[in-house]
Amino acid sequence: MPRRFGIAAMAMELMESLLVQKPATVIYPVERLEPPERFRGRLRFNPDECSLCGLCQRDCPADVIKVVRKRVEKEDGTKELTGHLEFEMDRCVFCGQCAQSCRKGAITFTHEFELAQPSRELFMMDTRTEDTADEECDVDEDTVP
Amino acid sequence: MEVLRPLFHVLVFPGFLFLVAFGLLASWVDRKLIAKFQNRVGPPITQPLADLIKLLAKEDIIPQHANRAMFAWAPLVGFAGVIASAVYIPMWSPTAVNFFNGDLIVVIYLLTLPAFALFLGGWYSSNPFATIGATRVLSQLFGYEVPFFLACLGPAVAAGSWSITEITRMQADGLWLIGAAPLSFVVAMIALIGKLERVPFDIPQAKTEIVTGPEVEYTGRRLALWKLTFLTETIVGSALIAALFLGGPHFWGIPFDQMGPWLGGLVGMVVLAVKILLIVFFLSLVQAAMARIRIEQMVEWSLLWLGIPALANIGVIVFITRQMGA
Amino acid sequence: MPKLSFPIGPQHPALKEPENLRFTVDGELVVDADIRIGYVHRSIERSCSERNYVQDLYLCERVCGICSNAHTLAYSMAIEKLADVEVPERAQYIRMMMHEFERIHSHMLWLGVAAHEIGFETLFMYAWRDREIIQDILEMVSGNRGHYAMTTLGGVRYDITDEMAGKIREGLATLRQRAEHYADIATTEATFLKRTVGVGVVSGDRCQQLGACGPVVRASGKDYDVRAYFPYLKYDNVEWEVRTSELCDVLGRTIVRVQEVIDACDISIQCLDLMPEGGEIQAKFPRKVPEGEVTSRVEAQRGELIYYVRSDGSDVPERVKIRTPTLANLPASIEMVIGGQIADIPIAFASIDPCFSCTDRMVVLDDISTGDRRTMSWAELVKLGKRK
Repeated sequence: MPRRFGIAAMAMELMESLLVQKPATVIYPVERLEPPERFRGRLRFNPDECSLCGLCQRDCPADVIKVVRKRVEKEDGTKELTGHLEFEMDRCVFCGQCAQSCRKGAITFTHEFELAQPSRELFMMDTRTEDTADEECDVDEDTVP
Repeated sequence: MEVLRPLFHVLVFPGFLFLVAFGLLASWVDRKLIAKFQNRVGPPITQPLADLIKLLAKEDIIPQHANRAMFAWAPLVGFAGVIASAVYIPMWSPTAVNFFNGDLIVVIYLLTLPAFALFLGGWYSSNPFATIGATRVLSQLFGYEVPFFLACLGPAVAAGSWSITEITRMQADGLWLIGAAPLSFVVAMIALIGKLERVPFDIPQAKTEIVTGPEVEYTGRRLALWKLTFLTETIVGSALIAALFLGGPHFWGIPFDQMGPWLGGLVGMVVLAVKILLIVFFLSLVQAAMARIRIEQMVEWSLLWLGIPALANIGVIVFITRQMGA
Repeated sequence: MPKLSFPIGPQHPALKEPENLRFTVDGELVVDADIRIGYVHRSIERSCSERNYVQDLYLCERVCGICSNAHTLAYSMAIEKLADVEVPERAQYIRMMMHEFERIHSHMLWLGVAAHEIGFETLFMYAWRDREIIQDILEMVSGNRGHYAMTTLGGVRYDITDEMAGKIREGLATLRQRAEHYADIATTEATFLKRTVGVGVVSGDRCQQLGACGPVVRASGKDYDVRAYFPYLKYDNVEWEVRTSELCDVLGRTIVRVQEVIDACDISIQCLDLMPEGGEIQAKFPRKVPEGEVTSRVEAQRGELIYYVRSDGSDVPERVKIRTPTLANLPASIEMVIGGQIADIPIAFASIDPCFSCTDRMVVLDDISTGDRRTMSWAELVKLGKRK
């Protein structure tokens, strides 16, 4: 970027950029640019925090979340509410409303952005079977306020 | 055997192959410079060749309503004109491959063929954008052709000859004719921008207005021919200006007489190449610094501000030669 | 040469978004022009009536990519008025800063696009390079370069930390300097002036007659700016002035927009100074919004953006209507190109900063002869689409 004006300064910049400057290309995937701190990448769901209230499902603009509730009868005769969440991640627009609506902070966003999948079915994030607490990605404990 | 030598000159050096190769190099220099002026990185040196190969590999389509003969032959006529004119311009020594008194006129005529071919190709393309572009090509021709001719006339009058070879030989003795005809030099450079259809005079090919104008229906090999026509015209036009004003393949202090014909030729070629690239640098600088102007603004401005200085310069030269001769 | 009729669009290098302009030209003179829009219609208003208020926030944000924050701002202001919720002061200042940042981003984009239309590639590259400064600021604050999702019902989502405030001040100082350089170029570069002076002229009174708004009408001498006439957020608390120009042509609009970039930098810095330390950034918002109807208007980048919302007491709005500034500016743009040259069409049209993603709305037809009002059913629309 020209920092100074004046013919001599600009000629120097031109020479420098022709002879010395390295290409601007980032050699991806060997090098990676780091997304900013508040970037909303792949969704991370913590089932231990979830209370199955369903506010995330109600507020999602893209109908991504489905809360599946089950009443199971325990051995002593009382009923317990359990369930799980299903995320259709190919519909998600990464707006962040689910993380904001959740009162327990069960939904957070990581910095992962390489989310392509070869087929539609693989986008289904079923929190019973999938390991959603991914240790490899950027562990960012600050949830969306 | 007699027929092989001219064939070699037209097809290999300084004809087709040499012009295409040098044209690609000059195109790379142009694009890289413009990119640097615009604070970008620019393409690698193989890019113009890659673009050419890509175009050659594409399908060649002729629109259904277009006039097949005109559409198909127009690019060839333009390209042929440029290649033929290279034979008369001194490329490695003050003597060109072929010369006779009046070859300056022939060269200027041959260099207008691309513009006329572009007009015909666009007009017969049956596309409204191409039609508008074709009429713009002719309107722009009015603007730059007369000043270009008048500007080339300046050195001709100063040297007292209509042959480019004579003019270049005269400059080999010492004084480059840019000293005698500075206004003509400036006029010729600016008119060259119009001839090559570069910004600020790329009106016939205005991308955002008429989508590439007369070339819009061309694809594949024929589009490659158009691109090559303008690439090689850059080289030939710059070489013409270098021969007329900047002494051609001559530089003071280089002992051309003591070098053999091959070494002398090589050095002369390098000298001319440097001059051509300097002219290309000027063309790129103007392209980076300006916007595109409208067609009527271009014609008005050119006839006034290019035609009159060229005429004035000729007048001054005539006056001075009369005084010196009398 | 006989009169020639040719289209620009829906696909054309001059247009960033699809619309169909039909021109009749005589040589190089434009004799007649007509416009057809509707290529980007996505039935957003209808979809708004089927989703609750929180979901609609994100739907309205996606009306347009460049003015996304203006849409969410207008929408939130409308709903907050209906629900009688007051937004905390710190949130209002942050909202104002995002509003001005987006204005800078949009105007720098426009400057590059306008330069590209007249063949001035260098200014295009430089303007977009400097636009990266504001894009980095936006990404730092909100996490995204477009569709920031910063505005929520009742406040903003993220706060601006002191470290971010420092980076914002730095970035805006550089940007302000560059914007002054562009203002200089716009007024002194000879080829730029040749292409923009006297091009696309619409007088102030005619603009008002046609209902134009935003920089178009401000460049024709009228000082209509929603921020001054109907102040919202904290615009009556900061020092700024409405920029106008008497030139009435493309050059006037360029100058007004570059001046607005400089003003936006100043306003944002003032916001950073005036913001209260700490404090809430989001107020509590009820699920169900009380019955009523409300209009809100903001000064989006292109002009006056009006939202009308009618609520029936539930958590789903009954009707959301969006009047975008480009729709208001289109009749003026047709006036601008008629009587000019072909070469002036792209730049004159681009000088209203058209955003067709915003513009396409459904039309209710009034039959002039019988006075009947008619809405077209889906089947009728399909038949109309197939008919040539």
